[in-house]
Amino acid sequence: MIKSLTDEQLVELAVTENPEAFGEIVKRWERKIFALCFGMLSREDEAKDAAQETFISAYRNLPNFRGEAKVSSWLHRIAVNQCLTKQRRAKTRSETFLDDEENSEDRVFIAPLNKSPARITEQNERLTHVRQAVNSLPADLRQVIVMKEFEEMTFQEISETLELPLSTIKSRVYTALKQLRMKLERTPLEVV
Amino acid sequence: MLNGNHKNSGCGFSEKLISYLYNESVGTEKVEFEAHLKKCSGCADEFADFSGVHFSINDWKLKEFALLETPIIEIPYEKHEKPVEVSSLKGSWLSGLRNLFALSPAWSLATASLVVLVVCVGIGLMILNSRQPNEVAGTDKNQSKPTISPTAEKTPPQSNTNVIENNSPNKQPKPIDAPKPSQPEVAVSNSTNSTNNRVVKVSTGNQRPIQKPGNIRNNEVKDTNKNQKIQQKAVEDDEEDNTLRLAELFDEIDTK
Repeated sequence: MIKSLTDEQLVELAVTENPEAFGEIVKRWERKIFALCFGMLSREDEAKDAAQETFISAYRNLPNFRGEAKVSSWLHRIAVNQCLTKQRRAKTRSETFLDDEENSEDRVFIAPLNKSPARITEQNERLTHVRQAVNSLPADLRQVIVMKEFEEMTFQEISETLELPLSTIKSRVYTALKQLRMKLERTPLEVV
Repeated sequence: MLNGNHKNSGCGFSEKLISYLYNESVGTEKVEFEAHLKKCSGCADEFADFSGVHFSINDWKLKEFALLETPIIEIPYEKHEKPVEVSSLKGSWLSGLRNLFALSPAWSLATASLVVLVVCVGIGLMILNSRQPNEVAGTDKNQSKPTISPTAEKTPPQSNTNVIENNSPNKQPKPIDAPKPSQPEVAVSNSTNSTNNRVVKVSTGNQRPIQKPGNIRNNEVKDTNKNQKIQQKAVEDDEEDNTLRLAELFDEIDTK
């Protein structure tokens, strides 16, 4: 029965009768919110923390949810704020995730069996480069490119979620791609 | 809208390029852009560059993010307290009053005493306001009441009096009779313009205006003085009449 309810009905149910109805909302959105956090922060542990804090914050503020916006928009906004707060804290601690060579070496990529170690290293470098380029984008551009690439949302869905005009979303994606192209020009994009 | 240092600036296909890149172009828009892509080298170059960036990000996603497990989100479930709705408080004025009195007994006592005080003051003011015009009206009535006074004699009111005007000097004089005892008051006044014009005001005792007790003594004194004057005047007038009458009689005798 709960599965047939809309997000807004689940929120109402969680507030009034059954708090565990919020669990269904978590199930529906946890992967996408995690993808958004990963795209914004580029680190698994930080992305997991941000996703966890996003849902806890949403649950605590459920009574304040007025239903003026969609639940998905509301969750995305909380998630983006969580990610930006984490980045700000990291900057104040002079921690840069992407420049941290130790952390990047610790990352384990599952490489195809038929690839040589040199090729795997090259691929890792390229991925690090892409991650750095995305992370250096301004927050508003990074947000739309992550929603488009990681969450695979349509332009219309992004427009509704961020409550911005469709043309603004396309313009932001265009600008983000152009800036990424300039940043990635140094390293030739290898088509695998 | 899309702008900036676009390779194909001016062709106006930037937005369609983005939609086509993410496979969101449909119908004629897709066909139109594909036709444009064959002609416009700027758009073709940009499309190739953006496709490379899109592929790189997608590659990063597949090789890193796709392998990650979704974290287990733990929510500390607890019953939410429904926030008080402002609309329910707005309600009717009665509910508002109830809420006010439900606050504390001290509040209710203070409010009740204030209301009683305001009501008492209001009633007092109303009584004062209603009395003041009556008092003013009462004084006016007293002043407007007709009293027998010398001025009133000069300009007697038309009502309750029988006024006999004698403007012509040739009119037949009154026959010499003894003064009528039944008439209690006889007022005679001469007009200022003509000595011949005489106004005789006759009023009966019943028609006398009702006076307040406070004014009775003064009026009585005035009345006695006035009556004396009137009597003197009447005697003088009678003497004049008698002389005129005698003169007329003598004239008649002479003519005969």
